[in-house]
Amino acid sequence: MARVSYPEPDDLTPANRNLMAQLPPLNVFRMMSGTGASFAPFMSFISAYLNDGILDQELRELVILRVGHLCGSAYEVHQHERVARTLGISDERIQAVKVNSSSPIFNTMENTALAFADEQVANIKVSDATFAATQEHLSDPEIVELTLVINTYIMVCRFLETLEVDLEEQDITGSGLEEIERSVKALSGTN
Amino acid sequence: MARIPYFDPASAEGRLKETINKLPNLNIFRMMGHSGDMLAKFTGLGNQILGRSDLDPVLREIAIVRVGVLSKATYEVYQHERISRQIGMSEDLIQAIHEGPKASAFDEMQAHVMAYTDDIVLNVRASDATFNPLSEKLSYKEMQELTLTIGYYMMVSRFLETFDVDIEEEGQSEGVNMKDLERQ
Repeated sequence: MARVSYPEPDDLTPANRNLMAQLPPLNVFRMMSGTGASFAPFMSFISAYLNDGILDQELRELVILRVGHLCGSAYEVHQHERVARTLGISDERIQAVKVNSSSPIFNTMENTALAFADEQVANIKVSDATFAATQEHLSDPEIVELTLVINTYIMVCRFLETLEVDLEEQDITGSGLEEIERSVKALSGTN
Repeated sequence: MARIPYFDPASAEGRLKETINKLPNLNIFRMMGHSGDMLAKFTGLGNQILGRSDLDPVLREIAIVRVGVLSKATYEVYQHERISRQIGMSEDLIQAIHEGPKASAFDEMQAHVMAYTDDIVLNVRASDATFNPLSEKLSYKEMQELTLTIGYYMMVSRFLETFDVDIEEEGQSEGVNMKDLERQ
């Protein structure tokens, strides 16, 4: 049971109610809709890298899963394992990302980006060695996006765990990313 | 010195150019220019957190500066101490944020916010001991806003530290103006 109640649709602003109606029915979004004015920009922000990002999608999901495991957020891991499967990431890779060390199942770029994530979570600042290794595989814009993605889930896991957002009784079908994209596009059309 | 070169605003086109023209000339935004349209989305969220929340601004800035202190993010602390002064916080109160939740300058609510922030930053999930005293006093919306604010500034701090974003030189920018944000 969540620590604070999810807002009722009637209590939302018309803009947030409209946005909620178009999003996949996930409790994280119900809870986030309670932040009022921050809800729409939050959705636009996550859609920017989920749907229009420049990072390799598989790399992005592996990193998101690693942050979820490190932060101990069952909800985050559950949702992004679903996204990972929808993208065709193998179960072996989904399992391997739980282990906080490099693995032969991942290529060098993936192992390096995962080490970057490990250091962001544990040490705040990534070491010179890991930063330099990452630059061998990713462009500056990709490293900036990688950093924002990692940290978005450091934020999201705290929101989920502290407010005790509940797993849904039934999983949504598909990744949900297209619905997020459509709802955010509709938003910018009306604002 | 920043670890990678700042984005060159002269090379921005279209929406990114519009975004950059609207923002204060701060190095964090110059660095994030590399992410293209994400800069607009990232600052869009930050502007709502700062300018359009129900949460009391002093409690908000206490949480934000505390996250910066715990993250050793000098840049974040510098910019938000500036905002703290803009909204009238005393030097004693600002100094207390560096000391900890038990500092004598805090009233009860402020001390609760400090303890809650420490708990979330260090442990991800706030314990009942720090969650309950706050949730008795704040609305659900304020609890949701405060939790998002803490997470957002953890992101800001890690971004700043990982790219070694430099504090601006004298005269480069007047920084974020809260009055402008609240008028939006």
